[in-house]
Amino acid sequence: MRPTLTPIPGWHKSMVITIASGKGGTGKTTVAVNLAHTIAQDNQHSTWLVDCDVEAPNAALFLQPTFVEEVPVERLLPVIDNEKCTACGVCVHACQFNALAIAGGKVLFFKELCHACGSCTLVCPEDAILEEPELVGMLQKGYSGPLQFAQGTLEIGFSSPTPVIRSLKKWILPEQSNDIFLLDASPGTSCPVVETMRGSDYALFVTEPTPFGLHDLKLVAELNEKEFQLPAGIVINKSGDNDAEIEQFAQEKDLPILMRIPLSRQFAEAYSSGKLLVEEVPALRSAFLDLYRSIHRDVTKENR
Amino acid sequence: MKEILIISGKGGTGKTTVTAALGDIAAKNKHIVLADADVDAANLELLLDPKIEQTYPFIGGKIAVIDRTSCIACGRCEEVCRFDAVSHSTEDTYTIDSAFCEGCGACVHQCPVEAIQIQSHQSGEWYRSSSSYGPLLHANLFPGEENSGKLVTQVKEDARTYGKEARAEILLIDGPPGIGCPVTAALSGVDSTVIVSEPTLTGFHDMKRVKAVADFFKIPTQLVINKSDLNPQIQKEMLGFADEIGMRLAGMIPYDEKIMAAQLQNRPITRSLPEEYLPLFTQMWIEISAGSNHN
Repeated sequence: MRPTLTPIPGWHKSMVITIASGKGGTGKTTVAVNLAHTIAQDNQHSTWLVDCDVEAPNAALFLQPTFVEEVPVERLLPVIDNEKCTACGVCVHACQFNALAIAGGKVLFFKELCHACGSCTLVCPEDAILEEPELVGMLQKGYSGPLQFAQGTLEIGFSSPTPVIRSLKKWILPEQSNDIFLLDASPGTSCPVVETMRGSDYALFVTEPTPFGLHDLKLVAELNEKEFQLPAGIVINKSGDNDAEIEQFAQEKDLPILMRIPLSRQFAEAYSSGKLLVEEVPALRSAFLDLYRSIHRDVTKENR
Repeated sequence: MKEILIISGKGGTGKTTVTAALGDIAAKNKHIVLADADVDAANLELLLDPKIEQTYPFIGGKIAVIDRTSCIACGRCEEVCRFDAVSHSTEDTYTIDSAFCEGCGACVHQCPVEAIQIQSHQSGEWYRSSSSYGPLLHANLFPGEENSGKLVTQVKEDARTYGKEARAEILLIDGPPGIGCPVTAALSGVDSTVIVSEPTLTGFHDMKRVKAVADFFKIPTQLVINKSDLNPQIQKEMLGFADEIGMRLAGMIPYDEKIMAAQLQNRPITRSLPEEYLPLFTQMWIEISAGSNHN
């Protein structure tokens, strides 16, 4: 008999779970796709996997989704109307990013430094600054079997992932729903990860028993403590004989270790060719279901 | 001084492992400087055991702050903020969430009662250190802070100054994952880059993306394949791709238990591996220096 999940009585809101790691390559995407696939196959709620690692979006390589909708993400850049501009310098003064300068009686614009905040357009006393859209990324949504899927992709040559993540979340996460959303985050602990974790109900940290894995797990746990205080848990990937230091840290921080995925060449090979672990090794399905149950228990406990 | 940057696109392919191994080998007969440009998950220091000589504060974070006593709760700040950083708090006033404020000042200029100010704060620190492999410039962006690109630029500029003072011949930079602002900041002005990838669908996919970014900045690239032979089919495709676009292959590191065990020691793997592995890294360094000089 297939194990199934029973809905929690009285639970009528969405559940947003961010999967983060600090260090890259510890297995965020592996956990995200296998967990999402498992929940979607069993759950009575609609389940989404949202790939928020817009610099290196990889979840689709495992899920092979069919996309049904695609929208561009644009940001608004200033365009100076030189007929109206009096080179008064108010915009230059207002810009906090040094993206505007005056030279030869004209305002010059440096696109690479612009944050597209709109400050200059708002302050211009001559109404000489218009705005024009620039493509910064693409959003796509679709499905992979019973799982709903969405991703954002940052355009090559555009360096700020945050607007793409923000737009992706606004597009996919509705205000009211009882869907489950798994967000696959970027590595690191700076703005893209902050933008992804924002508004989440739970943080799942995927780590590996190496010096780098532990070091960066500490950083991402610190980020959560400082900015969000989300209930959180740990998955140890590539687990083996060296888990002790992670266990010690987990105990100190009162973070439960919810799952261990053993270090295995078989798993690494399945990963390398884009296969789902739960399809290669069906026994793992119940482990991923248990992982989901633990997360669900913690989230509902917090919200009671 | 030749500047060589190690990047990957996908995280966890072995950038830091390769940087430390190359640094160890290069330092045997050259004056080198090392820099860690992965400022929000800085790991090179875990391998090089540096002695910090100078610590500098990084004042990168600028955020807007509302003075609640003068705020008239008109909501104009929320209207103009494009970063969703302003919200109506329960008391009849507005607040700015520091995690999302980019410090653009749009709200400052629009506030009718001048209740908003931009404040700078320390969002990290950077260090000049010494190590037995050469000087190391590294940093620590506090978790959740912005402007990692600016801190990367700071670390690199300092590495250049330090390198000149020390008459170094090589600056070896451990880069960040992804293709976003810290990567573009790390790429700026370097002589060449080495992409460390792995024969996995994801590794290959992200290698192509970061290669396109390096091309965008017209920086020559070489390729190192880590965990080679994990997937012979994808490896063949990667090598075919590299050959087609004229990207030199500088070396391959096998998927090997001894290498994984060496990565658990807190030092360059070239110091922990059995001797028979050393030619692999020595040869890789010869290829990379030849490739960098070539350009």
